[in-house]
Amino acid sequence: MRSSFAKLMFVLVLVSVTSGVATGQNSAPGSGIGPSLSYLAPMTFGPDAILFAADSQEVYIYALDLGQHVTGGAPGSKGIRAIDEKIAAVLGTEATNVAVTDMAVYPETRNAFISVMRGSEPVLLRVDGVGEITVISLDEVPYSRIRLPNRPDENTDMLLKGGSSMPIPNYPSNQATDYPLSLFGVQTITDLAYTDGRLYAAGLSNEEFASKLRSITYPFTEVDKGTSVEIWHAPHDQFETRSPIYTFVPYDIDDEPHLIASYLCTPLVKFPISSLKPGADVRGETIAEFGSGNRPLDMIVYQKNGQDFLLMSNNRHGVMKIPTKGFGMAQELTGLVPDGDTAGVSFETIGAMEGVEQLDLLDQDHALVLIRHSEQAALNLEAVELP
Amino acid sequence: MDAGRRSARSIILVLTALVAAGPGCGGFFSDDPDDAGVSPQILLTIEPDDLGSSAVELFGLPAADLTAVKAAGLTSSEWVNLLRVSVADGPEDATGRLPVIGTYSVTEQAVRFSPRYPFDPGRHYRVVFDPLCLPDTESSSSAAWKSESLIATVQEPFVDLRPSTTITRVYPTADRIPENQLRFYVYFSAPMGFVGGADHVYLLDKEGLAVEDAFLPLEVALWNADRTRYTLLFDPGRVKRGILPNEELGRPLTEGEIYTLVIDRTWRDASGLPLVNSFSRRFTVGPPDERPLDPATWELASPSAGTLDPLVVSFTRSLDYALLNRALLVSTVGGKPVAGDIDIQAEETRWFFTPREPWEHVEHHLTILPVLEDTAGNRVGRSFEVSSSESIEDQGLPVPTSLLFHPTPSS
Repeated sequence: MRSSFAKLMFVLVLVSVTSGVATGQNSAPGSGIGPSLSYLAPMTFGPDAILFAADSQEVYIYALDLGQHVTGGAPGSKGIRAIDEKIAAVLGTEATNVAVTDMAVYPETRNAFISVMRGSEPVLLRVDGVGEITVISLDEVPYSRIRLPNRPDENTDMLLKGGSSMPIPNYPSNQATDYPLSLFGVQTITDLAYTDGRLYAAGLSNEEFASKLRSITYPFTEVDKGTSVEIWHAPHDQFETRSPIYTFVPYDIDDEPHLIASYLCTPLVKFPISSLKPGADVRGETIAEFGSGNRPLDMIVYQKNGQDFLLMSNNRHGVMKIPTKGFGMAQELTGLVPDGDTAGVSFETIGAMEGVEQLDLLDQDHALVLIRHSEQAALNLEAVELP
Repeated sequence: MDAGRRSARSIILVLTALVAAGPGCGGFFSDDPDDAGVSPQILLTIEPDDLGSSAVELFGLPAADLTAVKAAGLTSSEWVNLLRVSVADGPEDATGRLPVIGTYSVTEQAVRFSPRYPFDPGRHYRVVFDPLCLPDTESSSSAAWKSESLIATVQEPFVDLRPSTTITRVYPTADRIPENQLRFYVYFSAPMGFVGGADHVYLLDKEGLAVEDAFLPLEVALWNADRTRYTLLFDPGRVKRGILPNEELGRPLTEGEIYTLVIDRTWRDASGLPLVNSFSRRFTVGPPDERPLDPATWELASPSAGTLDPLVVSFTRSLDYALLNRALLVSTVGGKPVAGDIDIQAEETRWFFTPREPWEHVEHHLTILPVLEDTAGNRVGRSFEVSSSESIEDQGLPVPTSLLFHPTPSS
């Protein structure tokens, strides 16, 4: 190769930053009947009979209008021992071929909706108050959907010195023959929550160490394609890093709507929903830290004896019960508790709930859990009294 | 369904037994010589033109019964009582299993059950036909066969597939990686299943002992779109300084130590088969990379105008392989994108860009998108961990940066 070292000029150019609002065809909403899903999870119920469900492989969020499917069963959710084996039997296979991906309780009927993968086929099931397991046929379910951009907008206009601008393609559609476009920067959706007409979604990139928290109005519209913010973490005022959110729950602190969120790197943080402005860099305020290997899975808020509690399931240490009354006053953590394995607001570990893999609120006195009492045990669906 | 079509089907292993009718639907029977020649038969049939779409069919019912079943408008539980299909571990073991979900229909010759999800090859399914659950017909016969349930075990042929998926590449490829490395990319030769690597990937120290909690056991697996690449994240709570897991256990990697990444062949591909081989790679650990990327230190070897020679960019440290495939763009200074192919070499420290058309004799931009990271998450102008004295806000918004090069005519 003949070459010469180029004159090396380092040009810093300004970008005309519009906002963090997604544009482009990828995020255009669509609708129809009978969604074709390649994955099903996470899920959360919205208004009426709407089940929000992410296809975190294709990076769509679906609003599934379950209609009569939410009311077709006996009210409640009856516990079922070895539900993984029973689901497998209904699907014509064995439990090792079925992976439970999420569970959501429909608040009106308190039926459980469980999403599973049967090999590479996503399946939605309902468990009702007499323990009947029904496969929800998605073929006739009306849906609308919105795609989270799994790559940036097509172009960013760079403003060059002198005022001219230059469109910069944000992904090289003309490059890399062995690296098809669809592979770029896929995000996986890790959690969904709906509150006050807006859907919140946390997405985790499989390339950059980054995640986006997006807020999207529902019904999905062409006009509002959502707001996206990058979340930061500033532990102990020492360092700041981009920090993926893994799971979160909306919660009002002193009448101000907040999200209580857990980071991928374990701290529990809070931030006001009002801070989620387009393009903003948002810092979550650390309110508790958990020891190593504790990865929060699901969070619910409930009331007992006039007090609010956060219940958080966890891959290592069972379920944690955290009173929320200190959340408003909790000072941001500025140091570690010596010889302690946790820090921040107080909490209690509910040993009896060890092995919980999925958690949702069943009614005012019970949580519904999918639980494995030992590593080799079958998966049970159990209603557990709220601690 | 016509007879010709039926004959084109393959008929698979069926073991049949007759037992006394159970209590399912009640009814009566008596010997009726008119029906002496009838004997229903359960078969598993596969549509030859639609591989994998198999159904259970009950042949041999008198036409009057078929018509009655068709007209009866059975509920789903009545269908199940009539013809129940369930998973059987062995030929006889299926008692108490919930019935398999599927749709029932009546063809010209048979009652048909089509499972919602294809039968697993090699798995046994138990089929029970209870004649007492047939709807009454005007000439309701009371043949002998109506007194007994017909039970069959059906099975699609076991497909003896051999593992064929391999691990083709693992990035980074360097023998020495920084202590604050954030991830590995594992490439497979064919699509994998949906399950992530938590139970299949180990980090061993120099004694061969597993480093506990090195990787993040995410239940959402970070696959690419066709599941041929898996992103394996070190636990960021241990990599990032100043938070509890890091304080408790330190980083998963320690500078100066030797480790082996092991990927067990039990990880299953999209066909449910294990990998051909396990994978292992030894590497040493160097000091952490905590500095931002500085493109001013990169070297650009500019190609000659009019040639298809690659543009070669050399970095001072390994950058993230996946991001190198999408975060560097080439365009003319007028803004026209240049089409080309990327090759990444020398432990991800060298980036080759070969244009599809000969280079023009004009100035070009190499634009660096702000998402570009090294293997430890450092970006242009912004290190992964920004110390609080230089808050991210002071560093301004991340913006694309650009290097200029000018292909000149070869001499």
